[in-house]
Amino acid sequence: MNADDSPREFSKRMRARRRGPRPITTLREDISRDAVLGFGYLGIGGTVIGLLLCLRGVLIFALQLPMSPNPVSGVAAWVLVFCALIGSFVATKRLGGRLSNTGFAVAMALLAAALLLDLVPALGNANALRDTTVFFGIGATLLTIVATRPVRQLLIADGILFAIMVSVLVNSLSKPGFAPGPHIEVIVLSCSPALIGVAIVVGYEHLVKRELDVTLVESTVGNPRFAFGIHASDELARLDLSAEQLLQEVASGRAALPLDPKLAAEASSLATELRLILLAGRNETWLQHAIRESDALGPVVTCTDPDGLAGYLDQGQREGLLSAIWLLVGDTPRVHPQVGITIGPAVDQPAVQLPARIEIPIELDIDGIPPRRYDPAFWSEFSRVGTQAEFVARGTLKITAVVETTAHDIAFSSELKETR
Amino acid sequence: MTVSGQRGNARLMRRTTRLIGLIFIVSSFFCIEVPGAAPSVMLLSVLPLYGIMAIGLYLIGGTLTFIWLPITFVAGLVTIWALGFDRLGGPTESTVSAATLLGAGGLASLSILFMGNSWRLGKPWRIGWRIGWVAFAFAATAVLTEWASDTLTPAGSTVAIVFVGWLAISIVGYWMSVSVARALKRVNHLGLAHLAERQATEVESMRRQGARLMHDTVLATLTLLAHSGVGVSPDALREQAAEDARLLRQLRLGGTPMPRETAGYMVEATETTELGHTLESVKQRCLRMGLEVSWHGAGRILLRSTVLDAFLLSLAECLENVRRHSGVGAADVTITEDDTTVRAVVTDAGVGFDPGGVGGTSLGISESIVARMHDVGGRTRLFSAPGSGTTVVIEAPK
Repeated sequence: MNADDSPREFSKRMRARRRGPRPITTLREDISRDAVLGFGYLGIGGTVIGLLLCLRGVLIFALQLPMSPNPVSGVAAWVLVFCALIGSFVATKRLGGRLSNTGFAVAMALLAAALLLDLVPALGNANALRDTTVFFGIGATLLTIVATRPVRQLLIADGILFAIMVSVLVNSLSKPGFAPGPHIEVIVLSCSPALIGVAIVVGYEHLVKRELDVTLVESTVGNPRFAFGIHASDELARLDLSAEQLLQEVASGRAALPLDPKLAAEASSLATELRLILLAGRNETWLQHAIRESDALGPVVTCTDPDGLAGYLDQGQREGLLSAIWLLVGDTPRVHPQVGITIGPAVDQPAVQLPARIEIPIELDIDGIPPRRYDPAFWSEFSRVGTQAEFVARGTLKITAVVETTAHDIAFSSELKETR
Repeated sequence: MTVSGQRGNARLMRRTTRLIGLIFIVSSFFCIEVPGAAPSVMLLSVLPLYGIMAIGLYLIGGTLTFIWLPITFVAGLVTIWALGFDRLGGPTESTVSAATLLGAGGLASLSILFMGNSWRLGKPWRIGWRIGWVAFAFAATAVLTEWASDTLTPAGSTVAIVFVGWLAISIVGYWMSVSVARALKRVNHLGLAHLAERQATEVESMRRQGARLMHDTVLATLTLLAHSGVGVSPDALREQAAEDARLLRQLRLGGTPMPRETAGYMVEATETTELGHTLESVKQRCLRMGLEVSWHGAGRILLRSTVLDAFLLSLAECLENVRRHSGVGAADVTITEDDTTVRAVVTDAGVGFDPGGVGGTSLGISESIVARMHDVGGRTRLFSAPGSGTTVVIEAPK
């Protein structure tokens, strides 16, 4: 987030590059972990609001103090709450955004002690919940650490707080002069902040992850017609290295000639894999890479494009197609769509003059989501691909993209088809 | 900030509004719903209002239709008023709590929609307008809630609670949007890094794939080794293996094993090299593999590096095919050139084959020769018939 971020990214990439191919694929995981850790800033907001709510609790406590039967234990309880709050804040700062297990345990113990100190003397009377002002402080403290611990632990802590409060409420029900409203108010004002904080953290994390996926996948749009893809590149580097080691062994005489069957088999499989991968780059387009590399698209989108026609689409058409697919499957809660993309076969226009035109039919088979639920922006993105979009069957959309190409491109593609 | 990022941010704000609003509205309703907490006439009159608020918040959380914002807000104000209205039996301790929860949380949640998008408005006066609206809505809510709590709470304490609620929730909205904007900016940063990484990887793999001549010799050697190296002299094979391992090592260390494969070869179209110099490596290879080749014609020809690469590679591939399939141990290569083209004719007197039957089975010819020459704008012609030898013509543009 600061100016020094880019050098860090850069050095990380350089490190990955030096350490060889495997770390390059893990770079992406690194990045996503980093981005999620970026909610330290969000956590500051939680701390500020938690502090605010805490101060409100103290204010109420101070107003009630003259009437309180045991002022000493109340003051002690609030002191403990502030110890937990400030202590966890300092510990979090030390560890760069996370609260350690020990820190969390100590904070929870302090809060529990505060609760006992304040609640036990009040348990007898009808207004036990209202007299135990420290409830506000406990809820607020949970909010201050909302971004520093796993969501589940906070939910459990908040749930325990809620259960205690409800049982105190139930206990007071039969007491004379009991009015439920103020007690429910105290419960809601104490327990809801941490719950809402957790919901925000979860929503935020989801948003950032999704946005990261979009951004990373978008980078495939600028690929050349046929590209290798990051995975294949790593694979190629790995195969080259294995081949080098094998050849080195033969050259140095460590492996006697004629070669033993095991090494011969290794050479054979290396040659096959190498041949395959050197050819593979010619058929894989940006679209296949985008789908494979995306966490969100990968499981639900399939693409059939035997001639690699997607590679002909220009930048705008590619962006339109990718965004349209994203809008269909990227963020649709409660529906689980499946999308199949079929591209081709192409219709070549007679190349009377240059630039020649080529028509590429693209079919989307959309399963599991009815047309009225398509995101409205889907249509505008989809129409960037081509001019006519039509439903050819229930759930099957067809669009024809027209691209201008050079004659050489077309000749090359048809020649390839013949020779294949 | 991308479009999808903005949409995601707005959706997060709406959902948070809905969550907070519903929590407080439902709990507010619980305060008076408990038997004895409020007179039934009051319960009946506020029930529809709670319904409207709940529906409004639900819809706001889905797709924001703007009209539900004022509807929900006004329904909330009317509810607070009804909770404190003495003809309906109020206020009691429970109705005061219900009104406070409504004022400090249920209605305050709507402020997220105002505060949560201020970062992209930019113009100060528009942000001012929004804060003004929030302040006005807060004032109306606070005054009404204070009135509804009558003398049951200390004077001013209800206003204080409502104020804390509005302040906290406004901060939530503002802070969330700022955090999201920061995170998306960072994601953008990472995206650029990723793009650079992808390009670097692509260039790297192109470099590797571009070193085709090298890969072809590596592949040929590996194929020989796959047959345990039977049929060639061990010394020659070892020598070849050492040479190939050296090339691979150079490639791995970022070097450019073939003299013509420089990192910038894709852009430097004018770079030229001596053919004679590298033709030598093809000759050496044939010699090691036991194929006798008679070379005729030009010894020094200048070609662009990419074209030269493809040309030599196709030539080597042709000779490899002769060695493997023709059944004879000799071939003739004639290299000629005119103003526009460099041409190599490879002839053998071997068994020949039917060119029509090659397509499906021989990936080697289509991929290694035809496609490669097309890549650089050249062409390949094949003349052969069973029993009458084979002639391949490779043409590369100058």
